Amino acid sequence: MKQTRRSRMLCAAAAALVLAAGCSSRPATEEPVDAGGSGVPLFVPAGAGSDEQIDLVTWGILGGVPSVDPARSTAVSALAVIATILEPLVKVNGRGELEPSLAESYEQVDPTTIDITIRGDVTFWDGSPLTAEDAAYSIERMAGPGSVNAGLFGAFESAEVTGDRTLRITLKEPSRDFLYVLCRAVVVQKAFTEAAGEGFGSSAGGVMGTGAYRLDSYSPETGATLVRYDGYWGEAPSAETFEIKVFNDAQALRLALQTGEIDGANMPPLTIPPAEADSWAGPDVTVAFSQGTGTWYLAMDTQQPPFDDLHVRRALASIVDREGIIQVTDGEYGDPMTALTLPPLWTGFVDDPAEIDAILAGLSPLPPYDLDAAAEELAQSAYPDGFSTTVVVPHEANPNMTTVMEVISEAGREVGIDIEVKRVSLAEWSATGTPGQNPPLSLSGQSPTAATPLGSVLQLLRPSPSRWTNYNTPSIDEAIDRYQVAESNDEIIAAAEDVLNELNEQLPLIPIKVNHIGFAYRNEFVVAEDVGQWTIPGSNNWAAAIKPAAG
Amino acid sequence: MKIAVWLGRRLIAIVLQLLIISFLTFSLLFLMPGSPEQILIGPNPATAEQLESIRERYGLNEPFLAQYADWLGAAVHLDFGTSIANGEEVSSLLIERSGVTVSLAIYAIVLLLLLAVPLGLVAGARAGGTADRVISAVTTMLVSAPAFATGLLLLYVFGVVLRWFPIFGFGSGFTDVVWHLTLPAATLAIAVIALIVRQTRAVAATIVRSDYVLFGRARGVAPWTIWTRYLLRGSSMPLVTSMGLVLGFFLTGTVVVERLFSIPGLGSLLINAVSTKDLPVVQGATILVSFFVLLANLLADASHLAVDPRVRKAVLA
Repeated sequence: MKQTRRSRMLCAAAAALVLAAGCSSRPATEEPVDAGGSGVPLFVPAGAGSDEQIDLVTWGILGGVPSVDPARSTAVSALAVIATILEPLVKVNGRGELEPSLAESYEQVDPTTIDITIRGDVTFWDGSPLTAEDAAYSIERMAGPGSVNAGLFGAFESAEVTGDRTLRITLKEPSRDFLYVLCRAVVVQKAFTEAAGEGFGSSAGGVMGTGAYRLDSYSPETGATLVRYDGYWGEAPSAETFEIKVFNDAQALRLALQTGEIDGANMPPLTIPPAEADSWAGPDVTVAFSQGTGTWYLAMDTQQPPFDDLHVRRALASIVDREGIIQVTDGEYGDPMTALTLPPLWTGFVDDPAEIDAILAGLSPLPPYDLDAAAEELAQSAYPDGFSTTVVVPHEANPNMTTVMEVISEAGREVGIDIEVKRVSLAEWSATGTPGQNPPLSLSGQSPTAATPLGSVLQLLRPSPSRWTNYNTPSIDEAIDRYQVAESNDEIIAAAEDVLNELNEQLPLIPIKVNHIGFAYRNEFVVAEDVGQWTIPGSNNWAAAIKPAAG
Repeated sequence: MKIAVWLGRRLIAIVLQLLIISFLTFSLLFLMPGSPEQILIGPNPATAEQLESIRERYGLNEPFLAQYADWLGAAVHLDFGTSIANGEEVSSLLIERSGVTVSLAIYAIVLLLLLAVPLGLVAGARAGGTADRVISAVTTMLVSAPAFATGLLLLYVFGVVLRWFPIFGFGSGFTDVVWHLTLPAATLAIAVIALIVRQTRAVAATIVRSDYVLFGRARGVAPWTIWTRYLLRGSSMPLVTSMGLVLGFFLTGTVVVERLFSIPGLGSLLINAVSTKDLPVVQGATILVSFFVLLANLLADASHLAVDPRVRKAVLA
């Protein structure tokens, strides 16, 4: 599907300039709560912050902020600003669990009906109270055809105001992920938004929200200045002003952090190999990584030759040298994937991290990297003499994709699989995977739409105008249906295992590796809450968690 | 009167050139693979209704010529539309960004003249000597380094180690802007310093050996006067012509520097717009940059006419 091709991996142009500078010691991450193969923790524990009030925190992000309108923004850099000033009705906490935000309570009445009661103490920055009308309008707007996020809300039918503080959401079909998707529907004021019209979310039009910080000024190219909102319903943040500065070059971002021109930065693991993370750390700077959910995988159109042949797909899976790929792209901060799911997607359903590891270890194994096995599979296929194919990569936007494909291509040549790695522009790459142009083989990356075991998978299997894998079997459809309506965690886990096992056996998608999430900050500050995939800087109300270090 | 006719012709030529550039840019962008709505939706799942809605909103379903005619009709009224990527008024974006880029280009020109002309005069006056060889070697070495490497070196030495200058951003207020733009402007100036030094040197070397300089010296004309009235003025003619080209280069060649120092100028605007196929912004920025370049060349030619009677006579005859 093209939507997965244009992944978060492309949130910014790649930086190829490296100047060895600063300390090269291992980043001073806290002790891991749980360690995967790389030692990257599932969560980084909250730092000890003080209650001291400070004037200013300056935070750097890589890539511009095209708009602060949530309905027209998909860039990670834009979401970092939006998540600081606008709030959803429900949010995901650090452990991947749902909890109320602007909602006082929510109840899944039946598989397609959700009742929500909003808080009574929330006001917009102009002092007017939050109403159910504003909440319903924000959801409808986010799910409407004019929204770039509409595709995420495929299960959404309507949001109906049922009282001053209550609304009812109706779904077209049961969806386990919908409440998580609802976390994206941050609330804006209806009257302000309608009055701003097309200019809503632009530097001139601005936005009107309820967050702990209000938008004071904003420019797509330079960033945003946020000022503490004194009427905020929750805990007031430490800094009076929070400035988010846009950088276009990762090395400039790193140097600004090390010289103290900025206080912290979201690491750009998607454009800089995490292997270079050590150069970000230093005596004044802490670098921390937690396990991420950004997945890299090969996708095949299982209706197109030669990938309609399971032996070909198995041969291809056997030439993927995950360890080799991670070595050149992620260094010590990478982990191979064993299925299209990851531990952070299970934490809301399974308490014990060891149990999560056991579930993932119990799934049907992927074919290991084995060139002899690849040759044997190919010999059994309809293409015993090998085959040729082409994979396009947006090299300039993400050179890491080229690196990954080159490693796979090199191994393929050993067994007769000739993969041409064609470098194209971002625009040309975006054009592939559209209806009628489904590429037979492609390298992709994406983040999950929900903190659920199949949060990374369902969007790849859901019918759409540009469905990549064209993989559709009665057994997987049955397992997905079961998963969507399951009521207990055991049923959810069992259904998810069935889906993942079939994917690992039939291989329409070949998981490769996971992108972990990094951030860096000067030691005068801490992130005063657990930091994991769901609460990294850039997620809901993250700026309020940046506090002066205690002592 | 003749000067008005000459100027009128040049302005008409500029308009025609802008028209051709706008059509070519529009055509190339139209032919480029990918579509704005696909890039806009990014990593999210897309629906057919969603794609259609966005295409409809920005008139992307219209035939090519109709789209171009719509754009041109609005552009002649200086309405360049709104950005597909962020809904910003393109005119506002251009005004904001061109101020940044023009400031950077002018500052780079000032630095270039302050550095390159004296060095070129010294090298020309001491042609073949140690000073000439040192200046030529150093400037050639500087111009050989790519701008990103020079910029990164300046950024590291003067921004990180010595901490004399900020390493990112544009600043606010005249002094702050000058402070912020010093390293980027120096990076730009260094990229072409050898060109100006060598040009100035060549002219100065000829002048310094000329009869009228020799005669001046024999008459006891003060060295300062020789340098300023003979060498500097004599060297200014080719310099004026070069400055038009250099200014054009600075206005169009700031992309790397803008990205490296996180300066929100026209270059970075154009690059981002092309990568997202944001047609209104690409068109607006291309036309503006082209206009700047053509205007810079016109001013250079006009300056040439003003300072050289021989050229004036030949052109206006």
